Amino acid sequence: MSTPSPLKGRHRWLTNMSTLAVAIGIVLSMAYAWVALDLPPGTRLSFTLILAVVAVSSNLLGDGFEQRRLITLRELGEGALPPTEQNLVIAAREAMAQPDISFWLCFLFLAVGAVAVSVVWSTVSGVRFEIAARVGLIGLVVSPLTSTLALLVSIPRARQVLRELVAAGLPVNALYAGVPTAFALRRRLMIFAVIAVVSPLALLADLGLSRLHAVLSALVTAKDGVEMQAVTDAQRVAGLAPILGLVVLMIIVVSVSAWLSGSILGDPLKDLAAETERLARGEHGSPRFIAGEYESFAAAGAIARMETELVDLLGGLGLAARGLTGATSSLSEGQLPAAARKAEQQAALDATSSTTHELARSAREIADNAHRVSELARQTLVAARAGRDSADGFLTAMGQVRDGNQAIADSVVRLNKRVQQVGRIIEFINGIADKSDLLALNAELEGNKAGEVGRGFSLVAAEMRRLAESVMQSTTEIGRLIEEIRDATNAAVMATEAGVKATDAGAALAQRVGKGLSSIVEFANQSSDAMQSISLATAQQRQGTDQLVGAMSDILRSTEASGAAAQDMVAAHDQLLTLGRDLEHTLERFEVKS
Amino acid sequence: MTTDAGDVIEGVVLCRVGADRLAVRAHEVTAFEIADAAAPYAGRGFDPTATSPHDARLLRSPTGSLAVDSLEVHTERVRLMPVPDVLARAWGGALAGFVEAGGALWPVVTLARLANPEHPS
Repeated sequence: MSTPSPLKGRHRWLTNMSTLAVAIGIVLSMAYAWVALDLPPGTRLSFTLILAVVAVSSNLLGDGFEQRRLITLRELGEGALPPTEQNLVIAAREAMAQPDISFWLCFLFLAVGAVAVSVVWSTVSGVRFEIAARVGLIGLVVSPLTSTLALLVSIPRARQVLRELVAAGLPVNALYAGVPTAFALRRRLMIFAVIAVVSPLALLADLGLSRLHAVLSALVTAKDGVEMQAVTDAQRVAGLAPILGLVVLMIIVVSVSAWLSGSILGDPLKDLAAETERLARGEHGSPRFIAGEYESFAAAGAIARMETELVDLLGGLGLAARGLTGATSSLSEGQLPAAARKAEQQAALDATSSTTHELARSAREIADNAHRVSELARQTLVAARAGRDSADGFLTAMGQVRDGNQAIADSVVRLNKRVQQVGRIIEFINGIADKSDLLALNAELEGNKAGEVGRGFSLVAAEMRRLAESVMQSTTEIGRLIEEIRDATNAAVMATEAGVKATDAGAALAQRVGKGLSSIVEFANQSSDAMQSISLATAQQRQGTDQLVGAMSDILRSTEASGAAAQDMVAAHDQLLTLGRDLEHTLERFEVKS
Repeated sequence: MTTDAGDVIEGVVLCRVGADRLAVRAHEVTAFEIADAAAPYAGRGFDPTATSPHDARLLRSPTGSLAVDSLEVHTERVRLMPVPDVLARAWGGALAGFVEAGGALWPVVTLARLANPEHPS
């Protein structure tokens, strides 16, 4: 079983007071008409019935229109809509607009109703037009006053409905943000003042004029002075009571309206004053709803937003103050005595400066070494290029040697062939010499056989044998030499062939060496470029370290100069700590309620 | 000119000693002379009692000389046919081989070896 919503029936409860105000207006108008108008006999009942019918019809029409304007509030109360923030805001708008709607509906239906009553009554009862017109005029005069009364009695109920909507879960800031604010208080007060003044005056003037018209008519129709005196006395006695009663009634109505207006204007201002006083005392929390209209509603919304912002600001400020205090306390606890701190800082800076100088010296040495290595790399590149050129020259020379060896080998082969030919010639000569030797031997033998006669022949033959033997010895020697030459040429051929092979191998080796030297040249070129880059980088590093040394010297001087500044900073820090604690004490005055 | 066994000899001096014959390489002979009685006679090699005739011819060489009955120079190229070592040593190493000349075999002797014969070991 679900709990009935606290908003149930509030849409009807909100409009009940306007109905009451309309009823009061009608009664007031009827009473005035009853007193002020000289209703013709036999028409009073019809007038009363017509007035009742018109009043009930107007009230039903007006109430139906008002209920249609409060449909969200009605459905929230009946549970047809969930009490979401959006629905609650819409219901709040409806409730806020309800007093104005009641005002205009009352004014419209009373004015139109008065005219309708006068017309219908005149038609139905045959009442003279001026009497019926006065009835309509009375309605038109009373309707603003009644509408104002309806407005004033509806406003408290609308405020109560808004409070209940807040209690039902509508956030106060959402209410202030979601309901449009109309700055119409000055215009409303002016209208109320006009109505409060003009309506009673109009009624009094009407009553006075009607009485004056009646007296004048009686005096004109009087037969003599005694009758005129009697009319005058009767009017004096009988005419004062209704006028006084009407005046008293008007004073009551105007006073009630003024009291209601003052209450409606004063209550929100009183609540705003209390809320402001609460904020001034430092009691902050969730913003409270202050019921009001027009400028007071805007002021309440501004105060609510201010409270929200103030709560956030105070929360952040408290955190900042606590952080500031904690930081300054930590800083204070971490502080060394100024002299010791300064001495340690000075020692550290001295050590850093020495290290920086050492770094600068190392950087200079590195830069010098890098420059020397770069120069060596450049020389290596030159040497490698020279070696590559030499290898190319050697390769060319090896080719030439190979060609020369090949030519020598060819020449030796040809020489060997020639030597062989010479050998064959020598053998031929040797054969001839052998044959000559034998022939000479035979001739010597024949000369010996011839005795003394052949002696000369034998001597010649013997001499020829010696020549032949000499030739044979020579040819033998030549043959030996030829053999040696042949051996030498064979050896030379083999040597030249070996030389050709060696030169081929040497050429291949020289080619590989040339390629290797080309690679070496390329690597040396890259190494030289890299070393030049390194040399440049180290030179820049040396400049940087020199600048670092200068900067460290400046820092050292600045540190010495900042000693006094550090003392000032310690004093400022103490002041800051005191300030933070003061701020915390100040913030403790503000009580933030969650 | 070589005169080893199996070689070709350019000219030989064909010598006759009594009924026997022998040959000498021509290039070993340096001169022909009339032999005297003291000259070594080749015929003793065949007959120890033989004596050289008065018209014997002396073959002179740088290492020795040998007297024979008659001689002639054969200028043709002849092939030296080898002999067994036993037979060569039986001649004191002086027998170099045989050559064929004029339809007959001629033992070739070396004058230098003949003057200094080998002795069997």
